Amino acid sequence: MPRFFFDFVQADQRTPDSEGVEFADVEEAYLEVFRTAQEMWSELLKQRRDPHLCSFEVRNHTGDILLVFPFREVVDCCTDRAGMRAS
Amino acid sequence: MLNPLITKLSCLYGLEPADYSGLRFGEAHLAAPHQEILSDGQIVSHAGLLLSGVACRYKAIGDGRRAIIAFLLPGDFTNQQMPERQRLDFGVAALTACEYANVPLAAWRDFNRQTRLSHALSLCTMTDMAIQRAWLANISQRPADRRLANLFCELRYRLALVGQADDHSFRLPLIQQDLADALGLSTVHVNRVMQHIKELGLIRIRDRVILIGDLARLEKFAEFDPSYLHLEGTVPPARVSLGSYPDVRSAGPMALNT
Repeated sequence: MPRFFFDFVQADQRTPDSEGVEFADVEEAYLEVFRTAQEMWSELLKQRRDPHLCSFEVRNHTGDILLVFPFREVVDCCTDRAGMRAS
Repeated sequence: MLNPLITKLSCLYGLEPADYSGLRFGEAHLAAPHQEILSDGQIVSHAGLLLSGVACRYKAIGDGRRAIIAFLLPGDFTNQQMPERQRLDFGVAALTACEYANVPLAAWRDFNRQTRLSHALSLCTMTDMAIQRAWLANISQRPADRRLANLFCELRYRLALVGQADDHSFRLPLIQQDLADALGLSTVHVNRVMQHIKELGLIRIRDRVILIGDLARLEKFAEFDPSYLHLEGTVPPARVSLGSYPDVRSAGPMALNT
């Protein structure tokens, strides 16, 4: 399985991931990063840090960025669903 | 070569050869990584002892995922024999290549006729329950970074009891998915907190060996107090260097009394 690397970006501070995690494909990596952002949301708030300023940059083994996941996406998708119910 | 259970019981409760001379197990079986050793719901009429490798007790949860409810290390019972037949409420699976032995009911009863051995085995059961309580508190209350650090401290301490860790390092052959399933976190979250603990200078990782700069500092960060892991006796765990792990794989079933 390919290995993906998850650099954590908070405001303008980047923490590179040197370990990586194996996933079948980038879609599976996306779903897992979504879960992680949900989990980290409350922990960031407890640390008085704004989750809106955080994101993950997902890289492959050669260092290319495959996707950027801003934490606000976990909230945006809730807003979308509420919007759908209202319409 | 001593069986890891004997190593543990001798270290924790000061058992001597006369106390465990009657300790006999069935032949050793091999399990490949991820192979199921016991299935959830299976009816068993024997206990089981892990001789080498790392296994887990787990429960399947709704969406095809599993919750690891305990890590099993050499010298741990996969399941203990209580009644004659028991329906398991959990599964047991190998996480690395494992060697395990079944303990038939008659042998289990023999163990419990020997006072000191029986006492030590009861304490093992109590420790098992204490570990479960510690996990419940850890998973339900601690933030992710301390939760992972606490698990590392527990595993290091338990591995030291069977001569497979010291104050500075231990081999952790688990993948991040295993840690995630045990800690109730996603794998990327485990990866993130692992990086964080490294950034704090509490651990380094090299070839699946966790290197600890200052054990007291790591244990303080993890809020780890090992008193629940040794219920009786004050004998500290054996200290061995990383290069001298006893090869538990060569401890066959007949090697127990040597």
